[in-house]
Amino acid sequence: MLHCQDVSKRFGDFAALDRISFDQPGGILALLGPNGAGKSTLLKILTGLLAPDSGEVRIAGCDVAKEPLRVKRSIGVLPEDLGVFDALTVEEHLELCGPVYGLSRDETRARADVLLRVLGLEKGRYTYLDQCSHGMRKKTALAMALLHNPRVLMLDEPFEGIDPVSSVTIRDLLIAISGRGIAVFLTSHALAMIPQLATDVMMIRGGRVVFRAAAAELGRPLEELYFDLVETPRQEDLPWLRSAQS
Amino acid sequence: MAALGAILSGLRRAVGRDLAASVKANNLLFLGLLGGAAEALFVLLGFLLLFPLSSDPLAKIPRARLALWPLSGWQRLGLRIASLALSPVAWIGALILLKTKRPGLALGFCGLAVAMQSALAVGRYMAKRDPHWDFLGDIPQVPGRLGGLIRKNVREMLSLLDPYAAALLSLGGGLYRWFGRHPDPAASTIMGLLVALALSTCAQSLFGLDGDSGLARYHLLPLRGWEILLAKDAAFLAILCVLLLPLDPGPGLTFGLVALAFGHQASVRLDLPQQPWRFASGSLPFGAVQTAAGVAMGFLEHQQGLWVLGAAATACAASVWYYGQQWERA
Repeated sequence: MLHCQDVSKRFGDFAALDRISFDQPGGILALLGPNGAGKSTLLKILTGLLAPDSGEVRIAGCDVAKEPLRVKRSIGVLPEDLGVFDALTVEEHLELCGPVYGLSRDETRARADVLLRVLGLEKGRYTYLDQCSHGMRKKTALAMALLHNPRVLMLDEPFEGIDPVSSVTIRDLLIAISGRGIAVFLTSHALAMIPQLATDVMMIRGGRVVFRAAAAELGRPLEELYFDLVETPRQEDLPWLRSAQS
Repeated sequence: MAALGAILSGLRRAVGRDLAASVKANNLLFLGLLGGAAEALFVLLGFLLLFPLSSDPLAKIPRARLALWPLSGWQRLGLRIASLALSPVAWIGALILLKTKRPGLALGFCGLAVAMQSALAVGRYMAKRDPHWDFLGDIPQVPGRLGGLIRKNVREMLSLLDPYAAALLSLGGGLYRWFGRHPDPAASTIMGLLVALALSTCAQSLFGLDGDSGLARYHLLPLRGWEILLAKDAAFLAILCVLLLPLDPGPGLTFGLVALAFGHQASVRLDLPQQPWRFASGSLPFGAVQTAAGVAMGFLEHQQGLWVLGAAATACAASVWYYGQQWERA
């Protein structure tokens, strides 16, 4: 479903991605890594928002560079900056997206009603996005990604800024849709959530893949593995916080 | 005092930036070429500008942040009074006083600004309480694949001041045409061109209000570049057509199509972010070319007839196709 071969990307002297290769036939692949590791850059390349310097990306059999429209029709994306418009309400975002993906108005409305209910957006459906909380904006973008029944779902930090109940709802939703054959690729910092939903885990550091395994075969707690392979927590004192004087 | 100084210094920077964003390269500035004849038009623009300029400078600090700062009651009062001196309305009021020596006039001006802000506050409150007062929310979804985008684009355009300046010109021209004693037939054509001129800067910055988030969404939607531009143009032309109804629509529409045909270049290639409830800001040299070509073609349409309008529409369509491809590569 998702094929990535020797993808590299440089920004000036900085190598954001260095020959990244992986295949994801289905299930939920979680991409982990510290800030600046290249997670969002990789997601942008997979979704066609950014062109790689070299390498090939194929989604559902289509080359992202050569058939961008076919790829866009087959993917649902929660991008890093959400891709929402301040001038539209939550509900109007779905009304905008449905017809663009070929859904009728009635079908769009019916699906939008369900999505708004499931994601807890029903009460805020008439709220303009510039008046929404970060969590509501993110859930709106997620609803837009799910509306047209994509074959591949790509989510950048889907749990960041989301309340616990919605996080569990989204987790269960992702597990359910992955069970129906939709491949899910997500990036996350929520290490506690990953073992509960991912079928595969991939870690990158400095633009390179440093670990890839099935979630069931990790052997050690994910957090421990992450701290060993990717980034060790820094322990430093802030001396001015020790005294009562400011 | 150091705390107040730091806050006021930050506030001064924020007001300065806001002011710079309010008065930028707008095609309406070319009205200055008309000399004294444009005085009334500049008064009208100044009136519209008063809406954003008369906002409370202290409101630029987020309310929660201001409340959390460890300031005493006296310091807060001092900040409140000192912040008023940062308001452009206070400066203009002082200028009026210095120039006319009439305190009543200066106070009247400040009173007008306060009344405008109060009206805006009441409007915002009503829109929050009852969605029926939110007139931008009443814009219906246009049928078709691009309908949602067109609605969004109309709403974004109507959150700039340019369409309101154009609306006042359209209203004035319409009243003159229908109720003037012996209206000059050429006035309707000229007012139509002025309406198009008032909107033309928006055509230079069609993506100006979308922000990075909106631009990312455009690139994710399964749409061609020309479709994205078409949805933008449809919104621009819809507003222009409504405003041209009371006037001679041909020349104004021709100007609008020419403005779009040229404007796609700036919209796709230049980064011209816009701020809601301000006049659109564009590129001055670019605007000069846009305005000259638009006025020339508009007058030509008036003299030669509809084929000129057809030529402008063809040029606009070709521009949509070409710059749509450029946009996809950007």
